Amino acid sequence: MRNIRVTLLVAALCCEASGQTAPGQAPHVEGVVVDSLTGVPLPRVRVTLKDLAAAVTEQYGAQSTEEGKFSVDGVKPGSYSVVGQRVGYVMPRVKVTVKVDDKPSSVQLQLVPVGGISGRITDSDGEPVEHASVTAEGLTRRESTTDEKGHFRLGGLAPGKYRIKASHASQFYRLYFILPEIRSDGRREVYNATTYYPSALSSSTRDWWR
Amino acid sequence: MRSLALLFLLCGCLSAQPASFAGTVVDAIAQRPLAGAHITLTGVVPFGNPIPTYGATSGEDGHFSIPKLAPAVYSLSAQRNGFVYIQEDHQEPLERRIALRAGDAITDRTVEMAPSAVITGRVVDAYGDPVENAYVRATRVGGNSPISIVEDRMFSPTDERGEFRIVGAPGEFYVSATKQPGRVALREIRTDGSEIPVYGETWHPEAESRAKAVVVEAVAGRETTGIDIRLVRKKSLHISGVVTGTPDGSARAQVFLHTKSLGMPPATADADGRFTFSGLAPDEYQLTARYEAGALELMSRTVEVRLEVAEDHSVNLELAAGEGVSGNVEMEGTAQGLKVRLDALTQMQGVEMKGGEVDRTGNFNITPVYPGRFRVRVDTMPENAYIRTVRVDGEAVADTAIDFTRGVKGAKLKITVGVNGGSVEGLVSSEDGKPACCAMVVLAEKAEYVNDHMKAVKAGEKYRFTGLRPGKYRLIVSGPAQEFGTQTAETLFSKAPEIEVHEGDRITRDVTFKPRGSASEKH
Repeated sequence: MRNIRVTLLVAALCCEASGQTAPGQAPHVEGVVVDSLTGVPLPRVRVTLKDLAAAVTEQYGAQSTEEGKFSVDGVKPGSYSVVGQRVGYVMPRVKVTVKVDDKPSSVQLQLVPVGGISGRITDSDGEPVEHASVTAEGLTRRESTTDEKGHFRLGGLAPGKYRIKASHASQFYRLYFILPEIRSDGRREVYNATTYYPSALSSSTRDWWR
Repeated sequence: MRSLALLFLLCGCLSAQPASFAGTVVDAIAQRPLAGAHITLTGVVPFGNPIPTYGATSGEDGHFSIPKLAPAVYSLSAQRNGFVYIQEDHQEPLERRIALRAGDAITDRTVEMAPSAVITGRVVDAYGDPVENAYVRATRVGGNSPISIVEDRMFSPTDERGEFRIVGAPGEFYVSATKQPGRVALREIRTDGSEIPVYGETWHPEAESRAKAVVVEAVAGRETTGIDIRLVRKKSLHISGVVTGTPDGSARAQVFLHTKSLGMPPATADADGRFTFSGLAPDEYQLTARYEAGALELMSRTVEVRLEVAEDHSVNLELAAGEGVSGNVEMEGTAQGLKVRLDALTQMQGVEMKGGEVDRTGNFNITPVYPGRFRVRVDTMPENAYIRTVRVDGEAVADTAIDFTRGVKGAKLKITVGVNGGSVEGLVSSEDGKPACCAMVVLAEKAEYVNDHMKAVKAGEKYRFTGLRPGKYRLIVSGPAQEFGTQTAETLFSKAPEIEVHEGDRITRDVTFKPRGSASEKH
């Protein structure tokens, strides 16, 4: 009788359940992937198991079925970092220990749907600013650029609190280094300072999310 | 090395009389002057000597003026909310520069802008799931190279909804998407029959080639929506193999894999030297193994693998210690004090070779030399001297290029230096007969050897190449260059006039620089 035991050490996202492994099989890891909000099984999730031991040269992979199920046969006993990846979702890596044991287990992976933040960047005259660089700072960092109406959208954000800042046209939209401009036509080039939502020049409690 | 040589051109006219630059910004679609456009002239920065940026804003009549600016080579850009700067159809990015000489007064430059044209859509996979971080690009119909600076930037990544938004110039475009595969420098074992998704470049709506693509019209001031792309799935392939010659011990060999355009993190071979890369799209790959432990460094030759269909390749990468190369230099007079150098033609991972100094008897040694292809160079030769022949174990090689991909294996080099090479020199003038301010002159036997003889000339300065090996060359005259890529080199080379150089020839060839890039001779 060769069975395995799968223990999830990051408890919040996982739970242990029971299943039966057929006698004589090599260690086998299986499970189901669900949406953490709706509980609906998620198809076509890429699940990877990476050995936590140093200098690994291989990992295990699987893709969830239409019913959200996945399985990997022939897993060597050891500690694995497991993650499910699907567009529009995030999931922190969890640790799974695979042992040769007589208590079989299966894994439930909960994928968290991402959110988005959108808005509009205007200058001090209320005019839209095009090509402004907008950044969400928080659990993850995302950057976007405003369109000609000043609109932006920052997608793919893990649920949490973010600070939003807008900066002067990103260098990307200028051909070369930004150098002080020499002007003699009486007009001044306007530089908009980096501004935090809604209209602050600094983030008063910097790094508050740490 | 030969793919991209960065060249910086110094204009010798900084402290001279100022130039001026003025003109009108127009809306090219409405055919009306455009107010409030921000014009900048940015100096193309010569190394360590920045030229300032000048700016102006167009008035109600569209007019702008920069009355005083240092003579130099500039890049012009124009910005205004909701508009894009339309450039002339210059094939070579180098030729989009504006060269201003001392006293030049440009009064009527027309700067064309058009209301931005927007293309939006979604990139999805075969199941209709959105694809994030796909790279979507619009390419103008009827041309391989982008024709305006704006179009260089007509691309967008997709977000987690698979949505993209490209802002650019109006016109007809092909819209294509590529998705970097989720490939890993690890062997990924799957037992459920699935594979890592790999996608080929796909053109709107679902075409594997541009020829089958549906053309998208981008209209000035409008948004063309629903330009969806369904990515075409490709077979997901592995490359696996074994590294041999790894010494005993805990250190492992690293395997580097790259395509022509992409590298990726190296794979670490296991204790038996085995390695696998998973999730690869069909392409041509190059693999090199490297081992480092303390002072010991071993490397394999670079193996090329062409992945087409399902098969996996068994690649054998044999580690070898760097070998010594010895040889002899023969020339009239003494060769002592010269230095022989081997320039790698294949990708080498940061290897520094030592030695090469030629002694009294003409002998030299270079070490370590790892498997690869090289060109032989001899430094600081007397004027007019050139490498006449290079022999490996008595066998003459072409273009001084030697093939050590199987290792040096004790091969001996024999380098013969001729002391009476040819020379070519001359003046470069503009089409108006004045000395051209800032041009790049190149004399090359082959397009891939454009770096051999290259000279940046200032106004009124002569170009001069000496120590030329007898043979047929092309004389290329190009604009003020910042980049001289492989493709540019090939195009310019094919258009350039030929010059035959014989032993001891002293050739004078004055040339006219035409903005199209090729040289024409003066008679």
